[in-house]
Amino acid sequence: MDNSLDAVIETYAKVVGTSEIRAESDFFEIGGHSLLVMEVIALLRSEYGMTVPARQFLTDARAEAVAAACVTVESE
Amino acid sequence: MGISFWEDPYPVYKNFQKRSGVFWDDMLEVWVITGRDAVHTVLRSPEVSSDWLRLNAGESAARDFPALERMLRGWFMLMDPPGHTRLRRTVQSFFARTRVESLAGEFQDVVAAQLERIRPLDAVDLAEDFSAPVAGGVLARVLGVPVDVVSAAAAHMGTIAGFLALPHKKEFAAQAADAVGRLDGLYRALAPELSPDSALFPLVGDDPAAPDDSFLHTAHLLSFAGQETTAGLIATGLLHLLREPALYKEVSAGQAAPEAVVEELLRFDTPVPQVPRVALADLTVEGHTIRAGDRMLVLLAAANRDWRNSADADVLDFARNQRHVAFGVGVHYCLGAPTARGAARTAISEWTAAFPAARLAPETVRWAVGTGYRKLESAVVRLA
Repeated sequence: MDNSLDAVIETYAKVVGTSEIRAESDFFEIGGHSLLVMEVIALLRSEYGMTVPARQFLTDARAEAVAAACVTVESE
Repeated sequence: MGISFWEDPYPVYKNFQKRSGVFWDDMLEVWVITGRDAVHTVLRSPEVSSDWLRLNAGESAARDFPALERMLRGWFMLMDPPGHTRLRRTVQSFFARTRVESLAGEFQDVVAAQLERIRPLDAVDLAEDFSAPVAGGVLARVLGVPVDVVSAAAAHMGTIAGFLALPHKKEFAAQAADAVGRLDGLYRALAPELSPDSALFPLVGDDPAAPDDSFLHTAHLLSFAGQETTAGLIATGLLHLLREPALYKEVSAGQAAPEAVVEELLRFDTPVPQVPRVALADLTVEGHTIRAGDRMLVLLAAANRDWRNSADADVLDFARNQRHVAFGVGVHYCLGAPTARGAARTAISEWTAAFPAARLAPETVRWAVGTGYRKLESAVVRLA
């Protein structure tokens, strides 16, 4: 769980271009654009071997919520 | 950290366009349209709708805020023919090119007055001290509405825009609903005092003490669509010129036709980068079948950079003379295009002539986040 949260926070930082990201940070509220969600998903897969359904971002885009919805690719 | 999307969205758009002019985004569950031809096809297609309710059938948080939903249902920008045609026609003559061009002297006055106010200062903010007041003054003249009402309305536009960009977010809907309440209050108070020459006058109805909904909704729409967009065009236009000293000098010396400058700025950094649509029936665009009910996001800004067909799409070139889609295409073609053009031409040529030695403080440049249109939050410029 810690690993996925770190991964999501780092990915958010990279994609949004800001560094003040916490577990409660909502992707859209920190400056994420809906067009960038696919980029987040792609990076989580390529950099961290994790996958998360795109729909998660519509339900709850906070870093901790997205982290909780991540699964490592092997166990898909 | 890298450049954020809000500072420069064009690399992201370029990646999309490289893949395809038309593709399906799994997260948004929309077709993302970035190719120039595809944009024309989609926006001109009778199978394609702007209807708000259809666009957000599943997910709009406006459901819980009846006043917000009612306003959006009343916006002709979000309607299809024939409702759209009828309502747009009621205000169309006030925005026609010939009428707007007859206001050129008044646009000059608005710009000159603002330049006088800032001339004694060492440094000003492009957004707050120039483009926003100029856009407000121009809109007030075109609408025939007092400038303080336009300015007060402008304060609420960011909230509404934020909601429209992310309509599933309940907090955004709540804030937008609050903004609608305040806007209603502003325009209800105005109705009994409204000049008979005003573009909004025909919509008031029989009793100015209780103005028709179409008066309120149209007032909010025209404020929404006219203020931030025009301010954005002027501010970002001047910002890009300030970043290219040779070009700034050319414009300042009157060596570049203001019309050509503004057209190229509209192409280069499109004030309304994207517009949403929904398919009413199946249609084929560049070999892709878009099905009835599918939503589309038409990226006007990406189409304007047209990387697939020009080697120097990312270069500001006043001699380019390339048609752009910044004002859209088809029946929803921007009603405010002559106003935006007139305001930007005047503002940019007068500012550059007044301040030939102006210098941007690059560390002060800040872009608004999450608005759905290009908004320069602030940029400090030293005037001499």
